[in-house]
Amino acid sequence: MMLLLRDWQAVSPLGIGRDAFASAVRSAPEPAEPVAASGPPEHMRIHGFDKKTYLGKKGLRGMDTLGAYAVVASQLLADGDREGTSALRARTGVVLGTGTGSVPSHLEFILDIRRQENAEWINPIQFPQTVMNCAAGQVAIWHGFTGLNVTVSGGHHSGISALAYAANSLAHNRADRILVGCAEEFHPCLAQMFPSDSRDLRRSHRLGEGCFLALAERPRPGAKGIGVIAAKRLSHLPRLSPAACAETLVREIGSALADPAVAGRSPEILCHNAFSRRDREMAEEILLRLGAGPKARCVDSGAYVADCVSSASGFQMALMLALARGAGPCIALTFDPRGAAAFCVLTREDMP
Amino acid sequence: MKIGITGMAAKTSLGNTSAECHKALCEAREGIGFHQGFDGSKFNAKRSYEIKDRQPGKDRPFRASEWLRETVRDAIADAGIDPAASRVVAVVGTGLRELRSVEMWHNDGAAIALDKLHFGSAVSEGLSLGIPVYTFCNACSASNFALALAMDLLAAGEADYAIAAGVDSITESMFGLLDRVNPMHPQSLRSLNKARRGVVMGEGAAAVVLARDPATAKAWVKGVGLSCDAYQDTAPHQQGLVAAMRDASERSGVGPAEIDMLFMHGTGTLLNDQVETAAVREYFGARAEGLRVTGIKPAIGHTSGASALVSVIMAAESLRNGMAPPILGLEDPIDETAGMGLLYEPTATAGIRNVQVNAFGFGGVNGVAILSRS
Repeated sequence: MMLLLRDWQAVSPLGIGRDAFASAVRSAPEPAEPVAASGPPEHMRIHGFDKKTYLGKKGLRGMDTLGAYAVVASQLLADGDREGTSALRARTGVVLGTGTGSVPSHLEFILDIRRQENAEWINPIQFPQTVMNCAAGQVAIWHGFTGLNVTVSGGHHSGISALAYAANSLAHNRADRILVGCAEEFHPCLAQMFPSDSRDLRRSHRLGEGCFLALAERPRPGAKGIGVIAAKRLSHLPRLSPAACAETLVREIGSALADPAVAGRSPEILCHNAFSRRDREMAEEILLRLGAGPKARCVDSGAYVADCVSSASGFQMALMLALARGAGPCIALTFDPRGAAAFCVLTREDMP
Repeated sequence: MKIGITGMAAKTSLGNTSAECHKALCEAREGIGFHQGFDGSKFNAKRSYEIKDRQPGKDRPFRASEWLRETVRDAIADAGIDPAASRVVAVVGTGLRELRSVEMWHNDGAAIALDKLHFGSAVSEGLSLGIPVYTFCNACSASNFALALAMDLLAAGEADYAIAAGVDSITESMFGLLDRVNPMHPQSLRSLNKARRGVVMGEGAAAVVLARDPATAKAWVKGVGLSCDAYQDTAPHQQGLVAAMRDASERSGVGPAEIDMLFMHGTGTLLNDQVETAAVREYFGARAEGLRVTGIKPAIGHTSGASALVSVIMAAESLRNGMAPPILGLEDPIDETAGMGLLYEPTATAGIRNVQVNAFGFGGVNGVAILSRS
């Protein structure tokens, strides 16, 4: 199933908004192959973020950082949406991928319970922020979107799951337009939750944060957008050998590239989030085996925005939208720390 | 095209199988007890509807994942399918996911892993099979959202069988929050009673196997309607609830006049029961008079993300077994229910064709399912 992208926005360590992100990415030097860090990792945070700058002063009570990232991204989309009349609100949905909601909010609430002698002293204003679907609900409340509202959780694959779900929902007429994407709020403990057999990741992994949101509709004849996405969730395949995993991915992605919308064009970019040399080499092998031409390239999203965990797939989409120049399809290939993979294919139309 | 439930499984404080739970509900038993999972000394509420699978005071991480594995496996066995020989997809609804495991990691250093927190690996490991798994964190209506996507995926031909599941275990943070916001500290959940005092948490897991046009089915899922209030983080909104009911009606082709029985969401809070009842009255109109109304939360607590699908399965069991469970502890119902056919006792379901199952959640996310008799 396909999604037609009308626009996208990003709240990221590279800047607030689509143009800031694209400009930073396009002007960045070609990243070198990452080397193992000797000291503590330099996480990529969104510094100096003030939600009031983008949202004004009203209605921000109870909005935590994760919710603010999502609401700001949605407001930036709304600012650029000339067709976004109030009549569309009832049929506009929100599909947001998150990992654990706001980890800082939840952990702070747990600490608060532990600190207080009695539950009477817990601060109830914190509570909504600890509900995992809080950010998606806040986007809906901010804009009055009464279409379906869904929070998808899939670890590093949250974004691709969200894209796949949004495509399905549009196909089944559960909304006419969907704000779809993923969000993550930095917390240093996230790396400590990586699998125990990933000790190097726990110690030295660079984390990022932010939100990617796109305005999506179902493709229809004559509809104009900036790209079409075919999203695909792969089965959990962590136990496969690298060779078997690569074989499966080549077959699955090749099948997606056989779609009439992209058939006959060789891939331009494969954007991945490799955790290891194994993942990186696999991505390069896959691109080669998919028949990529000499100008095609692999892009490591970690080199630009670090590992944004639940929003990893979203920033891979943003990178492809910012960097692609040709007519070939782009592939976002998202690994998780155990090597399970998911992907989606983006076919560009007109870049904004 | 018809979507049928060909296998189902449930686990709550009242039993480890769907049949056990339904039998206990119809016997008007209650699964409540003193809470055992964590130190409750600082909380005013002392009781909950736990699944009793651990020693008092000795918690362990990933209980929700264990239950999910069990119920998915049992539902597949009940359906009699070989998932390795078919295209199978799973959709899991949850409110709290594995946040209890995160709490235990944070407080006590329990071993956890990020990729184990969202149930994809739990389902795949339970089946010894890699399949696509979607996890929805849509609060207390999550498993009706899972049911909706499972139906949509089947309708689109994306799978031969779709598993819809729901699961939640009690977290210390949610228990603490409810203790903070329930000023009257309920000792039991008492839906629709004037003397209700609020939510008491429960634990549960549920799974159904859905198939396209099966030869036989335990019940047919006619449609699932979804909506969002876009109103307030935690308070329900009558218009949003009615919108989900209307969406369910349009998708199922079953109008309010054709609904014979209603499983209420019925959280037992002052506001929620009032708003839900008002929404039922608005949607059903004159049909609300005499409409048979029940709800299972007084017996098993609020099982959060599992609650919608547990109700769906109990509705299917009620159609199959000829008996629907009562609203436990219903003594002096709220005035808004006057004239409705509230079930005070187990009630025969002969003549019941269509059942509606309501589920509403924090964030204003609403899901309403409509089932019909095989």
